[in-house]
Amino acid sequence: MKKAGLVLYILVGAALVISGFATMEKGLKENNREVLYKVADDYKELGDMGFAGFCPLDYKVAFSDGEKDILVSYNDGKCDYIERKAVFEGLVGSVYQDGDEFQIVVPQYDTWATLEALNDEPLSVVVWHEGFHAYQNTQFNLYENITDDIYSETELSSIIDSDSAAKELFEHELKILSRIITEENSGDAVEIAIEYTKTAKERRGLLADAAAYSEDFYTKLEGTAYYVEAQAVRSEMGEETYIKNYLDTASKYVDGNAKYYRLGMLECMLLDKLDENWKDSYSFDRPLIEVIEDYIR
Amino acid sequence: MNDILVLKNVQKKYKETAVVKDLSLNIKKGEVFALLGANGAGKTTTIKMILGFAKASSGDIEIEDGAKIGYSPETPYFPEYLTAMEVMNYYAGIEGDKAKKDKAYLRSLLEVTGLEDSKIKVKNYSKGMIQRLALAQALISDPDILILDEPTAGLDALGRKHNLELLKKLKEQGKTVIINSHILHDIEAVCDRGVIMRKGEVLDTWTKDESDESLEDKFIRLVGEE
Amino acid sequence: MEIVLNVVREKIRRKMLYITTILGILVVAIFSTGTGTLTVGGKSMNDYYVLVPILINVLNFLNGAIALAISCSTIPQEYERRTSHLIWSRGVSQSRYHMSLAAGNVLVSWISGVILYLTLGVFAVVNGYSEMLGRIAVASLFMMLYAACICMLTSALSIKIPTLFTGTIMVIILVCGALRSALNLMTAALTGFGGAVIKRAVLLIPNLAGISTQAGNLVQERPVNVHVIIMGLIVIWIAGLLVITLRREEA
Repeated sequence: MKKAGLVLYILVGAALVISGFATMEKGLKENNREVLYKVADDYKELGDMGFAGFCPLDYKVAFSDGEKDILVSYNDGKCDYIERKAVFEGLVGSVYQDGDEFQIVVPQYDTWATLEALNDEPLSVVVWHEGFHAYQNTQFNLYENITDDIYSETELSSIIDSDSAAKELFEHELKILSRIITEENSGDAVEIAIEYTKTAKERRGLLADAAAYSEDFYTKLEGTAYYVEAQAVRSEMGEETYIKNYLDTASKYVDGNAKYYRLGMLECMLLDKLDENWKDSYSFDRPLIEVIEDYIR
Repeated sequence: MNDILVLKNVQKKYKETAVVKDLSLNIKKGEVFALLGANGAGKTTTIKMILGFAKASSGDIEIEDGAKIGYSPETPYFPEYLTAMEVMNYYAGIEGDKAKKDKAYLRSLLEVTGLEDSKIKVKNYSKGMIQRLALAQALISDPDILILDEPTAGLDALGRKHNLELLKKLKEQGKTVIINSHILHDIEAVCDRGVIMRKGEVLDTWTKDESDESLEDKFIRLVGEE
Repeated sequence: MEIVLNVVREKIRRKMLYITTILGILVVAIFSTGTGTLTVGGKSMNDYYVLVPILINVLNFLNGAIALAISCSTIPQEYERRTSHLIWSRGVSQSRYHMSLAAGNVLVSWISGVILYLTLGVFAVVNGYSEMLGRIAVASLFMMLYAACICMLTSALSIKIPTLFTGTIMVIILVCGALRSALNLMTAALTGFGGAVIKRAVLLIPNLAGISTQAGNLVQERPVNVHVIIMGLIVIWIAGLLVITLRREEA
């Protein structure tokens, strides 16, 4: 009887282990698939946002756990995928160049879910952001512009954050630009543009050429992607979250590189007011501030 | 008489210290056998090994096939919120024999040990009453071998007399009883044989009516020597 | 069965169960009547329908703590009091004895959990969500799975390890299991061989958070991940195997 009981117990264990393997989600998990469906749904409403030919799902998306990537090609509701060794270690939202192709790399949904609960940023929005970087590089070879003259984001932040005079002016720039979103009828766009460019010129006078050049690059690179991301959040999460997470924080100076995201987004919003078709002729070949200056000459 | 329990060269070591050394005993069926000795002699360890509470480091312990053992510990713990009958019922349930759960049978065991089937909870019992309950539960399985650790400790004079009479009755019923006790007078009253131990070894045996020397004198002579 | 029921009787009489259950009822009452406000991600959760999965998480964790407290000392106390002598002497094997004690722990934690879920059900009705009662009842099965994981693991450890260490280890397991999603996030950023080792170590922690999440999914009529449930059952099976095989040298 005792032996029979033990044998039965072992059999139950074996059955559980087999069931465990049978129910284990392999390959592309359903919740990752849902992320892509969400992006596709968003695209129906948002389109290319004025950036001709932009669609995040034109690029393959790799869901990564730091050890293994599930690389997905999305095509009209169908997800084809392969598994490969992770191209990046750790928790990463980025773009990976595979030959001539740029791929979006994001964390697996299971890993991201906790972050999403804390800061209201769905994984689909990260796909939009990184998808825009893939677009920047595929259409405009933006990463090829990274020369030795450009500081890394960390180096640049340490230079700017330690200069109190430049910091004050940067804050002032953000506050000026924020009038686009805070003033009734968005204020006078031209007046704001004049005031902004004047302050920006004054601040650049305090910076070395390389620092100013680097700032322009990151503002263009990340600011436009942040602007795209904000519109995706507005579409998915609603106006309240968009205002809380993007607009309310836009005028606030922060140490580190997040300030370039905010600055670039505000520059895009100012340009939207100056000329809603500004993106038609923009090819990421010059800083956004130069485009703004064109409208006030 | 046949041997119901045999210990052959049994040794028990804790780390490098031998608390029972090369112990050999033959306990016959139906006899009342005493384990005697001062504290630390190895009596309790011997009982533990017989009952399977501890494993012998070497040697063999052979119990007659099918022999049932009942055990009454020196300081038993029973759930305070139970009555005597509930305690009996609990242990009878663990025995697994439905016949042993018969209320009349359990009541008779309580009565034999001088307890009543009352609503008094164990938490209100005296030490002596708990001792009696310990003996009662040891009898549930109608054991062939009864091992009693200090069966008269904590009892008043009447209680001791009652228990000793009971032990004599159990002997008459053919039960084998092994007693660990310090009360030599009680041992002399009921036991047939015994061993006197010190530091894990048997110093000498004792047999009732075969010695001119009283058990007490013999004990003091042997155990008192350093 | 006698030993199992004796454990239940003893735990109920020791009143620990009453105190911890009252605490749980208070938690549900406070959040369900709007006296307390739960804020998640800056948003105030006043809608009971949205609040229920969060309350389930909290109740499961609370009941897990109750299960831990109940189970920590059951087996060691049997040996301290030497009640084990009167069990071993009756030829009851250690595996059967320990498993009976562990089963008693599980049963007590389920009783406590059911009381907590009954409270949840009452407040669901009070807040106009009586249609959720059936799903809350089924979700209580997840509570049982959660509690059984904790009880069985605690019981297994307590056979060999002193109570204080058992309690400490199990508190760590309970908290890490309840925060498994956050742990996954933190370890995702780790790289190299050390990172790989830590990630695998995290996989060994019972996914208590996952069990609560599935209960919440059930209540909100979302798909339930069966794999998480099976993994929970495997944890119980492994703990049960430890209970059966771990031995005390002496009674």
